[in-house]
Amino acid sequence: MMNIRKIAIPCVLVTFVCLCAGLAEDTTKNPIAIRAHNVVVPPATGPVSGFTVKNLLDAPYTGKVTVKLPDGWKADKTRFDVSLKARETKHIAFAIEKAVDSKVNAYPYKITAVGSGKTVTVDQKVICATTPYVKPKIDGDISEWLNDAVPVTFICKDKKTVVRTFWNKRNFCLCVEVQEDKFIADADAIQFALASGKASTGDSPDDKTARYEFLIVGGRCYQLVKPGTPLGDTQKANPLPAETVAKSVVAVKREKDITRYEISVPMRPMQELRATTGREYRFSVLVHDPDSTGIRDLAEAASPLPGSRNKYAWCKWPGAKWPSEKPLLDSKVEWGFCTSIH
Amino acid sequence: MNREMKVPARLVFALVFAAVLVSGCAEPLKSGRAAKKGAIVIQSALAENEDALKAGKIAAESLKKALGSTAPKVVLVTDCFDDKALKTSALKGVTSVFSKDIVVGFAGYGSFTQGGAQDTDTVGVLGIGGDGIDVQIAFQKNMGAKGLSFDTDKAKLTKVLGDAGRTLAKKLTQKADSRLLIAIPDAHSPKNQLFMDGLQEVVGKDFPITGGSISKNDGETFLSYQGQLHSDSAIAIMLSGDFKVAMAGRQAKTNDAVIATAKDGAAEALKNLGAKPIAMIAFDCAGRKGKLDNLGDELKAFQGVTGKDITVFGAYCAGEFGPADVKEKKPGVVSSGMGWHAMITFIGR
Repeated sequence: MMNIRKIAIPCVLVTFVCLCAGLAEDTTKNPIAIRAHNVVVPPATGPVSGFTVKNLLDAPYTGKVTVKLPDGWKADKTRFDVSLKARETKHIAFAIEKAVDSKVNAYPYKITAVGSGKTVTVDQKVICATTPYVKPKIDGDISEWLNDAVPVTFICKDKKTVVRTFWNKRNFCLCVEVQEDKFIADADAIQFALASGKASTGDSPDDKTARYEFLIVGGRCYQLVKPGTPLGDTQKANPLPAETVAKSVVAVKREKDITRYEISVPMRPMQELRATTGREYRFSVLVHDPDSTGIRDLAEAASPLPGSRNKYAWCKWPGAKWPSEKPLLDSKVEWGFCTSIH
Repeated sequence: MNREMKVPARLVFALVFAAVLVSGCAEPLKSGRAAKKGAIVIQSALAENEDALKAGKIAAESLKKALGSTAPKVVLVTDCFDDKALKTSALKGVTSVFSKDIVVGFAGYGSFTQGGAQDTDTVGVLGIGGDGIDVQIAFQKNMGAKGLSFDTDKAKLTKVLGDAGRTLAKKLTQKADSRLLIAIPDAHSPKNQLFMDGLQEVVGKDFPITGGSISKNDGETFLSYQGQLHSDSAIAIMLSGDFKVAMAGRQAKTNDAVIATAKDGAAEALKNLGAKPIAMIAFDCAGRKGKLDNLGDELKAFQGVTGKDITVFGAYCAGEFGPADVKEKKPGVVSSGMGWHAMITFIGR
């Protein structure tokens, strides 16, 4: 009896402490998570902006949200009353009436939510995630990209990556500049995915993909998946297709410590995108740099919400090194087709 | 004036006229006075075909059939093909049916008629004729705006586009029965307001102006006039006669708002017309089109107001002219150069 007490009492105490810690954690954690959406056409054209607010608790949330925009910007509305059921997520939109484009492509939003006894403040650099209408020549010379594209830059382990996109009725074009110490031809790779604006990634192996996904490795372009494939199949690391994507063009050039990929794939087979000026779509890019940074994920630059990771987000392929600790972010970052920007 | 002086004067006049022609200030086309109570015939057609020549020809032939015995005084063409060669073919298709002297066109992002809405690989045509309507067509080339950016060259753009709008408007005769000016420049939003300023200095801020800016897609920035493609140019069409015009403008940036404002704007304009409608013409934003889940939904909203029998012609543009849908309207100003708008005009009697 004495031995049981010697064991039981500490166990009860430890359990009590853990419970208290858990409860204490619950009372200090933010009730909501907020993320501002990318702007999918150049800000000066007066696009729709907005944010997603996610209730993190098992209780309803009511609060007031205020958005502070970059200097010189004006919106039709910047104060919102928000009511969420337990664990509910809502998207709230507002129209930009006046804005100025910045070459840096990082627009500081400050979003403050007051509710459920807490103030949550998010400072986020919103990006303009847009694909202008241009017909580039894919030849390794990226000079036409420098003036006519809207670059998205992100840093991974002190290494910079810059992503630019163009579209036209015939092709989707991508330019990725990868800062890396070494370029290893059959291991370094670019993987990118496009999906329609309303597409989402399922969470069961029987759910179907909603994306077109491509891999650039060894100077060639392969299609890994198209909409309608079971998600479970995307995790099997199937051998690469025997044929490269018909009418795709790839140019890879190395200059100092930058590897430049210039790619075009035909637009017409990607019917689900319904590409037209002003249409939203979903897009993301992975850079495979296995000898240095590992995988670099463009979705990190879009300030993802908690819960944005998905084991089915990307296709596995033979030879790639994948992080084991957690799934990658979803490959569906909001992006937009726009007209030429000049 | 003695004989030695007359010869140089004639020579000077001929040289000046030649210089004017070469500089692109072509003589405007004028159809003549409108007959009171004469017929006004407005019809439209649309064709989609990967073969641009066929698309142009089919659209033009459909328009000709719809016009019946009425010879059009102007045929306005909008195409959505992706390079100069294809646009030239589309234009050739139209001018194989109608004289190039009355065909004016512009690159757009798609179009719609009472029969449907389309975008890629399409030609939309609007024909206006009848002895009850007078049509003047003017053209201004080499505006001087090419390569100039609104952000960095605003002062220069203000001058060149204002001059272009002024010069173009002065080529037209504004008569007592002039009712509507349709303007189509290579000047996308927000530059289109600078062009509008020039137009309004001549015709007045209270004169109804509609129209749209041509596509600004890389390699597609063309207008057509007398069978030739031009960039950095503008077209104006003045309509005069015994008829009424009513306009409304609506801005929208989401699917639901595009549909709701199409219906609302059309209803307002039709109500203000106070007459039997002959046609509805819409210069609409490509951005609005991009927000639609289904391309035909905006047209459906329009036709919920107009019914399916009246002529409808709509073109998706990179900037629009018409009543601004803004909180603070400028008093006495009927039309402005805007973006994200559907500019709806009813013509009726």
